[in-house]
Amino acid sequence: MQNGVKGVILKNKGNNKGTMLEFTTGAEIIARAAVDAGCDFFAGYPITPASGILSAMMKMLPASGGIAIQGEDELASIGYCLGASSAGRKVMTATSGPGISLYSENIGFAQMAELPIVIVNVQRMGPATGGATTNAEGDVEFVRWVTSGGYPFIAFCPTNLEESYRLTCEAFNWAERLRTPVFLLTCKDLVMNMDTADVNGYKRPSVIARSPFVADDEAISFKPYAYSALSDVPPFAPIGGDILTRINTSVHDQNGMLTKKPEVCDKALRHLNEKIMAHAGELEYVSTDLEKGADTVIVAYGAAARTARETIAMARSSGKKMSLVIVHSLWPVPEAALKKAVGAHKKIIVPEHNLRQYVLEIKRLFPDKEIRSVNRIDGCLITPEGMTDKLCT
Amino acid sequence: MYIDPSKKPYPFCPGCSHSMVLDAIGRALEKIKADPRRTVLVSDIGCVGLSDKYFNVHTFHGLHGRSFTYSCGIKLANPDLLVFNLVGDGGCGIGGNHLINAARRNIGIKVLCFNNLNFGMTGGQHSVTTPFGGKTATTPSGSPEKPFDLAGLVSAAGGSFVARVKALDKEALDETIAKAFQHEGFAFVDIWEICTAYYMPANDYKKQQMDELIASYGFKTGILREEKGREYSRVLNSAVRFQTSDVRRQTSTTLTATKFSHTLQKDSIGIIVAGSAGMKVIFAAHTFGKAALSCGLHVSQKDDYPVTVQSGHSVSDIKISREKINYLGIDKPDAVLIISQDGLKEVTDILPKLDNGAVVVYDKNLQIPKTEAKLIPIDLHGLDKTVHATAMLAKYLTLNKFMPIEALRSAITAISKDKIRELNLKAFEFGTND
Repeated sequence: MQNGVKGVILKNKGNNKGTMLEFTTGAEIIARAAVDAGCDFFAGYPITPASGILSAMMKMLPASGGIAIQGEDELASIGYCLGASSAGRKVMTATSGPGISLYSENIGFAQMAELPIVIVNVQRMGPATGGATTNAEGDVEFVRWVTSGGYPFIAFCPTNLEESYRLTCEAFNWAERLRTPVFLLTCKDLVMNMDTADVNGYKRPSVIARSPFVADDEAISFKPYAYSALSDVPPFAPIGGDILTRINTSVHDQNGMLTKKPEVCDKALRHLNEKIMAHAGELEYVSTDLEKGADTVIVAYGAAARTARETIAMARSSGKKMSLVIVHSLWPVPEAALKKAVGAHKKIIVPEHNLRQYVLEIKRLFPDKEIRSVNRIDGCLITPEGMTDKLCT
Repeated sequence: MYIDPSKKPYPFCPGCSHSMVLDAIGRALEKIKADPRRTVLVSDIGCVGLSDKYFNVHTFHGLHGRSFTYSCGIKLANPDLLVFNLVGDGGCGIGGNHLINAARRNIGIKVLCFNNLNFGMTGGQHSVTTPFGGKTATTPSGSPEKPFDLAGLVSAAGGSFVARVKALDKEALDETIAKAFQHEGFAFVDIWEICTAYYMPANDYKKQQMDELIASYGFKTGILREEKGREYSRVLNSAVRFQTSDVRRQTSTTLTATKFSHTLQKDSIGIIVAGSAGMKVIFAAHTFGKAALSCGLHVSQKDDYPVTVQSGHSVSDIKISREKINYLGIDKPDAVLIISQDGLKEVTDILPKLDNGAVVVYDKNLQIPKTEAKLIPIDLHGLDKTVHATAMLAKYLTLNKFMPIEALRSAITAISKDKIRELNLKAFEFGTND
């Protein structure tokens, strides 16, 4: 709880002497975190820059008691996952922008049918085939509005190996807890590059399982989509278990039966919104490095946030005051944490490897502040100097 | 009771074959005494997708054409379940890739295709099985397309149980569905139906016309193929090993304890190694990185190469830092090591930007463009080309002793394959003695 900001603070410690360092890729760490978080089913289709995760899962999962399979295409890969999730497995898939496009309808299905799944999007240059081996972070709004209907999704965004580990675990916990798809939004440079991690920096949160249906003494009165308050998460009974259940992608009543009744549809859809937004406060994952008396704060995420750490260090070493806020939970927008952290700063710099996406949220939250957008879409990273100099627009 | 009589009648049009097939499924489940708690109905989109609620088994209703993938996922997750798909000819068209791959893999799902030759739910449009000349909402002058023979398609894909049966042939239908359910591997039943709302009135297609059509195709009915073979969900689950050993051992990751001390003065240095495919540039950079890690330094490595990995350039950017690396880019490299013409081409734009604080170590046979950097040619003659990058990195280390030469020797000595280790040690000696 650094600087009084509520929510979950991710800390990044510097290297201490005598620590054990690891030289590895983000792909390896995401796969390892998935296994550690209890993932026991993975399906994916090869796509640069996400293939490393598929390969790592193919090696690791059978060894830890799980199933990993390469689907015949992206539609099949997420379909296998959703089938397995309905049978009670903890599932993950990994792809890049073109694959997310193909996942779109099934992501809506997972949302509607309340099937937990972790979806890793290793961003590359888009649109379409774009640049397979070129870095970009252009899918921020894409994952928020990835399917029809417009109901909310959860998306986590790491900046390094330690956070990739932690946030993969968190993604599983939230997917299971809220029975919903959760994105881990990362990018080519964070997944394919070799990078150094402090082994002690991997923090695994307690593993949370989805809440099971427990039959009461009287009679089994199971409803597959039961909720009292709209924000309740229906207790789960697996396909193939002792209690017969129904999974339904169409708008359904609490029994899982298709319905067109306006009052039932209204509740069913508000429930999809409420069960996420009721936890918006808990879902605020930010880290802050605030400096007293600073006028300017950089609000960043992903690879740009990583670079911003260097910008801050450079500014301070030359006597300039500057603060940094890193957003690790892009969706829902961590509004309270951002408002608290940005506080009295007058200027906000929002660096993004896209043409202005998240800055729209920042403008919405801070209509009275001076907000500068820094953008780069040529496949190269915004430089530490570029955050504050002429690249600013 | 697999079908709940209190929920009936079915919602289908009068005379629609769907009602007959659902009843037949109920009878087949009774015949094989399926445990409803271990039975899963997966329905596709179309009129048949309205079937879930009549069944007292687990039900799963998903997207159009993807029902095969859900049932495969369920079967892979729990091989003990009886998982069957209710799908139309439309679903077999849009989901054809999943259908043939489930058949090829022999995943033990049972696919019951309600083949009524058109799309009923959306208003009688043509499907992949609409006969040539068949009139539908989207082929008003008669279909100009040749239809799929679905049973033949699945057979060709390796489906281990394939049958064709007419919905109106009650006895054969009951028996075939029961046999499909009892088959261990993948099963497909092509059930020929009549759509009383659209295809029948538009084409005067009744029982007699169905018989004539099947005869004109030269199709047989009954079980067309029945083969034994290992069911895939069992194969995959038997490959699972619960091991007590650390799963990390399965991975290629490297844990490095700090064994040496470094003397790096700058915050970080950037090295670019530029060579060709087959010159083991990435491996050499990786080994160099491990050496730096053993000195407590942080390292990032970014590799660039064409997608046709055994051709063209291979360039590794190595950044080495005293603290955690935040910015992953190398804007002003401290060293550029060039070992081939392909590599030179990739770094040509960088060389003029270097100042005299940087060094360029290069194969003496290369023509290096003008640069202010300090130029150090090396004669790599006699060294295997797979260790030129190692020799260059060793050479660079003798020029900028930011870490002990022993750290690199130690990292090379840890290479597991004898031949590769020996070659790299030779290159190390070459680079450090030259």
